[in-house]
Amino acid sequence: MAAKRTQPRQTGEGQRVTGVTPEQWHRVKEVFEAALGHAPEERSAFVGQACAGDDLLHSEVNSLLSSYEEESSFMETPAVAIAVRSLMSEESAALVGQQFGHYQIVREIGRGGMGVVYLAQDDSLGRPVALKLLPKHLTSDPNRLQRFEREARAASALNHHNILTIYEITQLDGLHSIATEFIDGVTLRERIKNKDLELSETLNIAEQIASALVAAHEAGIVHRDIKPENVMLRRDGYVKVLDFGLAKLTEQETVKRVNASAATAGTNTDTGVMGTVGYMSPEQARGESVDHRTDIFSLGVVIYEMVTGNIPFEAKIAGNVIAPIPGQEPPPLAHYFPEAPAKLQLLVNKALRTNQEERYQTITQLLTDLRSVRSKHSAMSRFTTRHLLLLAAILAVAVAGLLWIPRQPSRTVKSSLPPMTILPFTSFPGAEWLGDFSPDGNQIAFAWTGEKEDNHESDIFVKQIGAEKTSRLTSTPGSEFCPVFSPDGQNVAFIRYSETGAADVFITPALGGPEHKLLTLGSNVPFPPVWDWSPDGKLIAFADKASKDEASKIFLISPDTLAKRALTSPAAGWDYNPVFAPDGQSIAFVRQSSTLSADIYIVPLMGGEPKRLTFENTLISGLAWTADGQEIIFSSTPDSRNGSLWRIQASGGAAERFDVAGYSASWPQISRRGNRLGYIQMSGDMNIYRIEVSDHAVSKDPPTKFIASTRFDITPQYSPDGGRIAFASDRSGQNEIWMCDSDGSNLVRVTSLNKYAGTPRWSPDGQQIAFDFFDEGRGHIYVISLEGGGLRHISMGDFDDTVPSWSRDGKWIYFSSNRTGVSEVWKVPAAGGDAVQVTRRGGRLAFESMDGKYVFYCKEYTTPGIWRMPVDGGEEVQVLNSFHSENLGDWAVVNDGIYFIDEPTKNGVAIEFFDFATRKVRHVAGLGKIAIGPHGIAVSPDRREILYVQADHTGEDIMLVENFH
Amino acid sequence: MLRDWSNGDKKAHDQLFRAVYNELHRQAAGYLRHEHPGLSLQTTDLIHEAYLRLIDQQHVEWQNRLHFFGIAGQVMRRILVDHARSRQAAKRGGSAIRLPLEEAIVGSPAQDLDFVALDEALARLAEMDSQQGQIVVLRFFSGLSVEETAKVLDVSERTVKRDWNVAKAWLRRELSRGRPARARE
Repeated sequence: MAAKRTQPRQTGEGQRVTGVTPEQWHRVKEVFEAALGHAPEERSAFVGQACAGDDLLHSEVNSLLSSYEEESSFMETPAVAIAVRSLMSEESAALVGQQFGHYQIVREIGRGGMGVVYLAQDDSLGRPVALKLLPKHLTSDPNRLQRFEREARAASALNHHNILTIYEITQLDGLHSIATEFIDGVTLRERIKNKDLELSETLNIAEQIASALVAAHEAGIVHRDIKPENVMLRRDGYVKVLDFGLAKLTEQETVKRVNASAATAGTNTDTGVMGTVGYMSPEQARGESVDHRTDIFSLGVVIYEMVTGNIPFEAKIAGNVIAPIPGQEPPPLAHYFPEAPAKLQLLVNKALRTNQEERYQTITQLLTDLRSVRSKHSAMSRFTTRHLLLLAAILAVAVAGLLWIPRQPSRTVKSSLPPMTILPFTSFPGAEWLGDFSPDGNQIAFAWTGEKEDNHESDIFVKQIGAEKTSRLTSTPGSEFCPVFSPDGQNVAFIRYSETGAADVFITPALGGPEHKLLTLGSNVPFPPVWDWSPDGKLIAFADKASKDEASKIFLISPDTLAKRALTSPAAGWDYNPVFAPDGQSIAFVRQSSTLSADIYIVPLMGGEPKRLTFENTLISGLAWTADGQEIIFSSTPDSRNGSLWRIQASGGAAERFDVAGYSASWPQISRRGNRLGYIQMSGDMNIYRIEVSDHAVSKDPPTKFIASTRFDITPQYSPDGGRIAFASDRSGQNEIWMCDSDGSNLVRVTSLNKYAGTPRWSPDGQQIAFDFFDEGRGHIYVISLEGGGLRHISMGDFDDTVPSWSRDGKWIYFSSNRTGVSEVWKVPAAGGDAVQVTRRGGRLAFESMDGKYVFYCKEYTTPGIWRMPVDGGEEVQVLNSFHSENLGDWAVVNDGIYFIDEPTKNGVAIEFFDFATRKVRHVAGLGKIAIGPHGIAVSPDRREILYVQADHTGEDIMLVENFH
Repeated sequence: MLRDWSNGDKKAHDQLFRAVYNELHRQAAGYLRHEHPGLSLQTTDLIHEAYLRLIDQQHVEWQNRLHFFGIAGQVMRRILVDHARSRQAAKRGGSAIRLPLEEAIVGSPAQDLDFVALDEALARLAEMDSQQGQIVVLRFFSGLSVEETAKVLDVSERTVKRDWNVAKAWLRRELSRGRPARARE
């Protein structure tokens, strides 16, 4: 493939051919031509004979012959092609500075068969974008264009850190264009061309591409054009896969063009698609329909090329198509790169099978194999660098001294580490909260609600790993949280909230004994009050906010002097969950920008701007440093459940899943020696219960379990005619909207969005359901029509719009939103339009009164009560002052009052009714000592039945990974 | 028998230069905006296109095909050399725009041919053997086939093949030696 490097010729100075006379030159040409008539190996002898006695002629002909024999495409391309190319760059440069819509072209950054890409400035948002202008001939078919748009948006919406984010697909001055995030980096093509890749780099890049494909394939998206030109390497190490969906524009065309060029094969200008043919799977090159396995083949080609510098199959024109020749085996990797691991060879072989049935069947399998190659490889490199030095030193000593060569060093090879194993550390009933490993790593302190499931108050316990006995350190009424061992391991400190709501740190001997208060962290410490003690014991880090409405910051306080200072100052949102690095020099923490969007940042203790480490935009539930301070393990949760553990280099890079822990894993902790990792495994089962009530008497019949699965069935709502019930359930894997008849029969799934959809609300005519939908860490309001199933979004944007609710006339949809920075009730025309702010002093979970005159709503959990205000604005009035409306709210408005379930009392939980007329609360039904969602209640239109959500089991167990590495 | 067209009619040369240059620009712009789905980038087509436009204008009388293609090749040569020079100047000025061009567009491996060096070497070759120089111009810059070149120059195809082979080997060697001190500047 690639031409051999041209060696500088050693013809000596002064032999410039300009010194050759025309006569001599004539003779040179004659001998040269005659020599070409001989076989290459005979030419030297022939020339020697022919030029006997004429040294100048001899050396001239020889030198021309060797120039001729070097394989080369020198001057094979007609000059016109080069001229057009040169002029194209001038043309392109002329676009610089021009305005396309709200984009101003800054410079060209790349060009390919799929269009020219410019760096442009988005004037409206003031950010740089990569603007790709699509070729006209690719955008002429509206169907293809639509398929492309849909797929490109779907891929971008996966919000995967290895998939390029699309900002806008639009038409500018008649040209279809795609504006995407601008990547500061180079394409993999340029990278390969300029410098050989280290094996570790190859594996890293391949892993990130595979990771992008895993996400895409899971969503049913096939890339179809994986090649080095479509992979960008960002400066910070992130790999981004570009152009998802773009292949949709050329699907048909590729085949056509291949055929066309095959027809005129032989002309060197008709190689239009040859560049990418080398990456196509055989089935794709044959023009057959393809599935995700075509991407697996193409990735195999890319890996092969990264390792060897060559593509495995020469694209050959065979019959009417260009395709790898079946049965033709590419040279083994070791042919080009002797150190290629055998496992990588196997991997590549399996990816490059011409028959897709013999190939890897899923990209996940390939990724798993890649990771195992990588872990082997990195273990080997660690050995070769560090341990060879050690060996050399030992050898030197041995030679100088006793000539005794120790055998130990080989045991330090990392690959001999025992495998990681998982065992349950606790599996008590109720909820356990992970606390902290003791400094020796042999005990764990944790918070637990105790033996009884109906107890919601947690105490602090300590348990030895491998022993059965659990010792209880606190037994006061009220809850204690977040135990942390003192750095010397003698004591356990924990948080208890005072009556005024301040978070106090108490300390007690680890072996049991009297407790005493160490200090008060602050009066607005966000829950959970995760805190940390520096390794040297001199500082405590925690989160607090100056007042309820402000952003929370990370603070440091000295337990000795009580001197306190803020370490971060976020503009909005919350900073919390600070964790000291093992060297005590920096702190990793979680910065949460909205209800469902957070990332990890690292800030040096000396101060300075925190550096963003992750780009998850999800919920982060706990993080831990590895003992060497090189990595951070964290739990990332794309919706309210199903978190999993991930690991990322503390210096940055791509996060990779820590598969060992499985799903529903959160709050990781790592022992000081680094060999043990603990985390919380969550399990839960919420079901919808039904109780029959009457208007004026207390219900006597026991409730029945009505809609149930082993997972979450929540937020029930009766249709306006009472005939059907909509609810949210994750029984199919993700939270979706479901529907059944009022007797529980005819269960159907309403949405299949594969992301978190919740809080369904019927339109007054019963024809549509509004719900909230979480995408890219943000909540949006959607409406689905039950007739025909059309889906439309009502509100979209970079904020959390949640919990919709219809006006009684069906013209408006209320929802809760943080558009102003705090939660307020907003409304938006159901037919579409701009959102209007309704409440001004905080509000969420709105319901309109049956007569359509008032809006009822509650506020944040910390401000109990229910308010109401006229629908057209006006003063708000508190109608109920004691009620704590948590989470998704357990209340429902009817024409003469409000049904609600308040917090549990000593007698358990009860449904109560607030009567608008008497302004009194009446007891409706006692539900006993159960755990309530709180995930919504529903009252049937005839008011004979009430649905509520009961947590039948929420378990949180501590799991332990032994031999963690 | 062979006219010395390298110093040919100035008017014809200028007109053809403009015509070819415009045609090149038009095509370049077309490729850039991707108005053409397929790709048939043939020098002769392009030059014929330019030729037809010129014939339409009827301003120039072409003495013969040799005259025409010879001048067209020279035009192409000048465009490329000028462009290479301006790029080198831009590079020295530090404002070079690197333009990776995908092979799919041009249809051949991207190659970094040093046109300034090629131009100089070709001049030296023509000094030594003017027919060989013409063969290079017609084959490479005008894009004629061996057969067409032979017809235009009224020589045998074998001569064209031989001279083309030797010339390529010689030019390549000269270019790989690195650029000699410029004799003409």
